[in-house]
Amino acid sequence: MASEGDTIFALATPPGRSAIAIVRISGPQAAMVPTVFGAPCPKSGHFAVAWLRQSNREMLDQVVLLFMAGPRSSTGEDVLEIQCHGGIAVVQSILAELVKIPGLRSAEPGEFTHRMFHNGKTDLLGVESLADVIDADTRRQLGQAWEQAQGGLRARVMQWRAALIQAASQLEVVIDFPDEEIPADVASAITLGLIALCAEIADSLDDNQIGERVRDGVSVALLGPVNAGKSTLINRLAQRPVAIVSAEAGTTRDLVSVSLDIGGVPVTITDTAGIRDDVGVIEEEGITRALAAVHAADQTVIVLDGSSENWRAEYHRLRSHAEGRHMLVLNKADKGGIGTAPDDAMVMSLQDDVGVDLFIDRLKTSITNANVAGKGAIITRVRHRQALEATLRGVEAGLRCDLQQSPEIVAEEIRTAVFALGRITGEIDVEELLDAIFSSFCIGK
Amino acid sequence: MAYDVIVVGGGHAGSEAAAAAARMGAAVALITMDAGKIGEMSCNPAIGGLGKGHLVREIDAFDGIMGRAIDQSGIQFRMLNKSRGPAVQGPRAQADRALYRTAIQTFLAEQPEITVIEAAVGDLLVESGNCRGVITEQGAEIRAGAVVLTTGTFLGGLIHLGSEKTPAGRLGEAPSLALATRLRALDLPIGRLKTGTPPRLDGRTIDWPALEMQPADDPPVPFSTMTKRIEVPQIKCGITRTTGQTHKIIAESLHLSAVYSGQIEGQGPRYCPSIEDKIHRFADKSSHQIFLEPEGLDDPTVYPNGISTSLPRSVQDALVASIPGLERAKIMQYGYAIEYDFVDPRALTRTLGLRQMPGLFLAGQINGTTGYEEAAAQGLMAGINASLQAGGGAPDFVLNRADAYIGVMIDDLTTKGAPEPYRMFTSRAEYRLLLRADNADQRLTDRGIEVGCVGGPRQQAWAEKSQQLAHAQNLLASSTASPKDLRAFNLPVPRDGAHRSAAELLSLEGMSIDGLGALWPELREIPPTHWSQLEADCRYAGYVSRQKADIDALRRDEGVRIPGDTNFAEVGGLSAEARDLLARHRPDTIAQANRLPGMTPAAVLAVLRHLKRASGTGKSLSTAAQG
Repeated sequence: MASEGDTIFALATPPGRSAIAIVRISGPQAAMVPTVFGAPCPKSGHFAVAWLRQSNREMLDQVVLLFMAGPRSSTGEDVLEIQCHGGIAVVQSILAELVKIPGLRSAEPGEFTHRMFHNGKTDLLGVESLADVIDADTRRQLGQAWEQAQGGLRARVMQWRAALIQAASQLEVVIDFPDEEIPADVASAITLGLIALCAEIADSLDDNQIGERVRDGVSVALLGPVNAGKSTLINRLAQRPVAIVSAEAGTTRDLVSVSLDIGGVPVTITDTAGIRDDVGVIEEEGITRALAAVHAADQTVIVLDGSSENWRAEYHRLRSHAEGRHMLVLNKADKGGIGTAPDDAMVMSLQDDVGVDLFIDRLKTSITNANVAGKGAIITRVRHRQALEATLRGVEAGLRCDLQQSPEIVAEEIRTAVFALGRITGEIDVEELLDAIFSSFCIGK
Repeated sequence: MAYDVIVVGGGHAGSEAAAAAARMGAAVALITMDAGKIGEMSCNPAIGGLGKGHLVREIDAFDGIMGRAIDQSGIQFRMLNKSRGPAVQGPRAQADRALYRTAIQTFLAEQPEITVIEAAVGDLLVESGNCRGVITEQGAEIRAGAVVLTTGTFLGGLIHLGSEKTPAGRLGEAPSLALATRLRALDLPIGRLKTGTPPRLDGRTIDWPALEMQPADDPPVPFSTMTKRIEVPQIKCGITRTTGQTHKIIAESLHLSAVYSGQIEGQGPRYCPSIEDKIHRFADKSSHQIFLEPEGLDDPTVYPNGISTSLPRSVQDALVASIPGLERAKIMQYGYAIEYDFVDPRALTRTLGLRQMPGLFLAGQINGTTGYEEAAAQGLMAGINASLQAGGGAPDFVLNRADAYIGVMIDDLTTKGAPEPYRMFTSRAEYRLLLRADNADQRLTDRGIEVGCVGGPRQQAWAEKSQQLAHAQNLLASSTASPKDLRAFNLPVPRDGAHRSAAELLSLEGMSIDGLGALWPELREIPPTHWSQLEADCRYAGYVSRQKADIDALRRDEGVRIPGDTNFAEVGGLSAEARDLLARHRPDTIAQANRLPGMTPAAVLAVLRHLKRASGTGKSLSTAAQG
């Protein structure tokens, strides 16, 4: 990446024709950009309507200029926004003029956010949640992203970190000041504090991964023979108002997958399309591909032709491949002949459009999982989960040691735990530890 | 007469610096105001403790003198944290002040390379920006290849006792005012720190039978690996405590204290507070413990550890009399606070050389530290580097945070400075399980031999010991037993049914080489003096290997040097804050840059990219000497 002294610019709105387009400029030269176009720069925090002219004085566009002086701007640097008309020639001409200005260059992907981070406008969690806001497809995703941006996980991490540093500093007093009179209950205070911390971290980890599900979405694989109605089911789902993305390939009639907004969670339902029932024998290659799809999915739905005589045998065979949770759909109920079905089977007739809404409902229950209702999700990425799991492992390992005999090993485990937590927030500093020590104990002779 | 190295000051930093430079073969002049005070313990008569004891063992591993001196003068040896893991055990000993001084002076006298000169240094001899010697207050020039300043509390020293102020380096000794003026003129970042000392009591007037007594360890464990046995008689210390009356006296006289009347501008240490500090800041505590430490076998002076104060004499009399056992105790010397100049150690490189004046090294309290051990450890490093410089080589003997407590301390000082007097703790070392007091020789003696500061007798002793350790390590790793054998000897049986080695068993709590000797009698042939060291190695092996990735990363980053002439304005991708931070602190390596408070990972990366570009594409970066 080139020097930070550069002023960068980029089209902030999508390319192509539109009513208006916005060009953002950030860096030390932002304030002089309007003068290049023959217009004055507005005061910081103000906007101005201005005519931009090309170097040959030809009129380019009438625009709104918006200026924010650093450090009180989004990137922490001087920021200029040009809101111009969204014509292709307008935007191209402005960009072409900008690139001619010495010291200005087109921004690299994510560079505005990078500068925001670099100038201390946000932390790693903030950058992540901003990306999540932009990427949000459902309202629930958006709500979760803003919650995270406002400090959902950050607040908890800070609180846990403070608790760990507190425990660590008390432990260091026990270690480094053996001749001091340490209150007798320090050891039990440390232990109790760590136990409480473990419970809290474990509790947030026990969230059925709802935060990641909302953010990343859930994938559901349809498994079953070709003629059972899998693609018809996909097509029917695509016609429902919950469908948020239409096709992956081809026409709607040949959908391979469809994305639905189910309870705010984006759910991608994919036809494994690999299982062919040739003369009653499932082809080996087909099995392999279908199983790979099932393996990658969070949930499997087995779709069978309920009117077929051997659906029970088929179910038995496929069920063994559906790892973890699965649902059973028995289609073609209109043809009759299903007989006794398992309690949780969904009897469906795609021909008559019966049972599709029940199916969506069941999916919703299974995905958002009733037992975490009411608990705010604070873990929205695998990265957070891994760091918290490592933290928990460290604290638990510390608790297994004898605090009187091996305080140094307990301290080492806590250090590992703080380090793991630090991957979410920042690094631990010894001075911070000593500050905690000396503010809470009377030490020294 | 020209010397290789001049050491100014004969305290703990100065003595160790002179001894180290002499072992390196340098002709050394040790300049002090009073040769009789060389090796004086100005404050508490004790060496070692947690972290501090680790430093002494490390100094000893480099063949330094502090460990051997305390072994010849210690009158109460105690291993602190004896019931806890070996990584946090710290040797400590109270000293007979006179015996300690004699031991240090004898060690220095035994080194013919050292000339002791009695004089007060008033100026530095500077030629084309390099320090080439000193000028005494009498005007005599003494030339050398390098100079080590160890001024302790003498630089601009000012003693406070109540409202009285007396310029002094120690009670009754003149301060170094001319040198202080000279250093201030150099435009160095100079600040003030303060420390204090308690009143000294006449032990013959203390009611000992009324007091709880604390005995020495039996047998006492020496500091130095060269000491076979402690020969000095061991004594007990008394323990008493402050009363409600003491607290009342102090609370009522707080405004008379030099510290609280605002008379002192220097920052004092939080962990060595005066008694007025303790009572003011921890008002809810109704009593504080005091250790009564005799200053010598034939010396009636007693050091009451825990009541450092600068209150007026009459208040000191009253507060001492309010303490059980001290009702009739006579004060032989009143407590006082002392303020002195120190140089912000961020002006130093990790060789302890002053960045802006080649040839000048600083060690001890002048760098913002407190404590004899911290001072001696810096003296050692400054002495080694000064003699390297005087010999025409590069003064580049540096220890890092994974090498030694010495490395942790110097790294802390040169990257974070000394906002308060710096004292060593084990909690400062992130690799505490590796940096133990028991394995200092394993970690450092070979490094010392390599640089040339280890004398013949210790080289020989270490060669023998390291061979025995290697043999023992092989034996522990190769002695294996089946679960059946383990069960037969009542040893822990692994659930996986696999064989276990003696080394693996020693990682479990409660296992010892002696205990395992029942199953493998050959283990008992390992010299018993090495048992605890080997046991500790096995005990922490798992944790140490887990930290290895961290340590490797540290060594890699330490290996990337930032040239002293790097212009940070030319480094692209740096925020103004980062650029300012780097320009002010001028870190020696990428690892140090990374540890500067306020430094962001992005800024470190930017510096790294700049260095790569500067060193030319495809070429590797210049790397520092590796250990």
